[in-house]
Amino acid sequence: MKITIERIAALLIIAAGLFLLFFVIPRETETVEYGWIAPRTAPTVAAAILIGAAAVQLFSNSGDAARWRPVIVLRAAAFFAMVAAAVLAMPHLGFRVVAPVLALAIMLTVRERRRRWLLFGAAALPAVIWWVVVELLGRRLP
Amino acid sequence: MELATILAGLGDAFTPLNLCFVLGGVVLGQFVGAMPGIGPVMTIAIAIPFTFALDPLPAIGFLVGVNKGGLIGGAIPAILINTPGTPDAAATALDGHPLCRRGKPVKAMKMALYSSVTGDTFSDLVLITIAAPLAVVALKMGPVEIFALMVFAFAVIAGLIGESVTKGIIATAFGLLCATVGLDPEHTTPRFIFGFFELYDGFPIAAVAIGALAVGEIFRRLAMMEGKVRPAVKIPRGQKPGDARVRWREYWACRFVLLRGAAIGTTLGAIPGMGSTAAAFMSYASARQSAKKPETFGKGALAGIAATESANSSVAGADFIPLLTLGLPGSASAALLISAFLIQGIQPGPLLFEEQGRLIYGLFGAMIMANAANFFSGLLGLRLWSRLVMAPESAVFCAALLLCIVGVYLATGGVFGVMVMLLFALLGLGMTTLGYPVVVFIIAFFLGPRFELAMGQTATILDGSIAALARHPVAVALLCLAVFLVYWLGIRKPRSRTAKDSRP
Repeated sequence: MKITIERIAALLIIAAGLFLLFFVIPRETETVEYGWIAPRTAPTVAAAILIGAAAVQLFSNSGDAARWRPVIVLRAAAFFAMVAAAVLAMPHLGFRVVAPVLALAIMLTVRERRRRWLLFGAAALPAVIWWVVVELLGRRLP
Repeated sequence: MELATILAGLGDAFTPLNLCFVLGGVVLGQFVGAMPGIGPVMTIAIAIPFTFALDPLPAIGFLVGVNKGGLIGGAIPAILINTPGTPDAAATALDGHPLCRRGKPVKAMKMALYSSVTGDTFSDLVLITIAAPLAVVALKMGPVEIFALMVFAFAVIAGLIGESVTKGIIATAFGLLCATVGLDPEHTTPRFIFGFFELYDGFPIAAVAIGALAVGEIFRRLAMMEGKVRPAVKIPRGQKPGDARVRWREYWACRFVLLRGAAIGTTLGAIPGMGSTAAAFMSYASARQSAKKPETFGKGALAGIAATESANSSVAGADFIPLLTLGLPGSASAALLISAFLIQGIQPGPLLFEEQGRLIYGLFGAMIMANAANFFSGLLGLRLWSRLVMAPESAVFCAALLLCIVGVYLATGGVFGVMVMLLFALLGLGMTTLGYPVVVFIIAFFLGPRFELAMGQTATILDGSIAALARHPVAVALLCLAVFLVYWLGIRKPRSRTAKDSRP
């Protein structure tokens, strides 16, 4: 059997399903003695379907995922890390500091070098969002 | 339905305030539809948290406007730069772009506009006519039939959306699993809380929808950007009237193509899982097959644009048929509209016509208004929207990302919701990369609590005995159909495709 990304993903889904079925579901749901449907029934059924379908996927004659390009995935992960760091910093530094820095960092990372667009993304855009939410809608931002 | 309720609903819709929101939605939809990469689905996802403060009718009217406007906007980049703004506009590029290259971009865009409005109006009229009688039929179904119907719907959606049935089933199961987080509907005990009290009500709907559908896609698009600037498009000024205008006789010559496209789009749109892209290509193929001069297709035939645009736009209205009558969303935009209904405290389904008849007819009125707004806004804004095609993706995606963060922060009241959004963005990104349908996951997530409730009621009614199911022939038929569908789409069809592929 040829090892493909599709099959590795199917294996991971099976492992996650088994982990859910035997460790997470028993620990994170309460035991109830009455009624036909216990709190763990629906998650157990869903996990069982997940494992069954992933097993079929594992043994089916599927090709490799065409969209799988490691460079793209790594770059997407880098953007995710950038945004996650910004969101975690937001309660401490505030939207007014974090949003322009985040916008500028993203635009520079995707090789945007035109000054007017950098100015738009890093200054005008966060300012307009701040004005609309705080001044116009009267809501709070961190 | 009483006539007074219908008139009151329509009266609610036709107010200046609602018109402003519908028009605003249409303009925004055309605006974002014209920018490849954003599209109406992402915009609806971003806009939902900003509609919290509104009353249900203007809020949903605004989102419907975005959806309808996006259908027209999506055709603009397809025609001008051969890059569809939305997936369903891909078929429009087949004839729209060649017509643009022949020096008639405005004519191509106007034909797309007229066809889109025609198809959309047709499907809205079908929806208004048949939704209420269908809801009456749906109301006759008990919990067992509803449970079976949901299983059937999951089978259809898992089978038709995405590249394989097994991947669809995995996405469905995962969506149902994520929906079990929070208090269980039967005993109200907490599940999968992991010490986070914010999860007592489950994952926030807005965070999941925006994360999986919008932010995940933004990350993917940002990662795929390689610093290239899109080619500029120049619309020639001072064109001959014949080159910039669609004459009445040209439009009238396409009447059968338009009608057939609208009928195909409406039929497919009413089936959950059958997207507008399939409708557009099916209508195009059908128009080409029945054309007197099929060789003109692909070279800038107006009939080609008419076929695709009438079909893909008519799906928008038909999407509401299963949504309003059964509470089953059949597409990403319908799933998002369900979340908007839920956030406004309205449960879509057959009871909606009894409990919120006035709102529903208000919504129908808003849809008709949106069609008119689409037409006039499109006529006035085509040249303006065509300039947006050149807007840099770096700025567009930055704006979208900041709006997603702010929107979810406002909707969930804190950074926790934004972190949940990022978690589901990662999940959406992973699913898209590996070919698992995110839309199926979202639909299953939204329907999860209702599904579990229906499962509990079914088990109680049947007293735990499967044999008792024999007393519910409709449910048995639906469950058998679901099994057959999974077999047909998952085993039979791929096998015949493999056999065909291996033939020399």
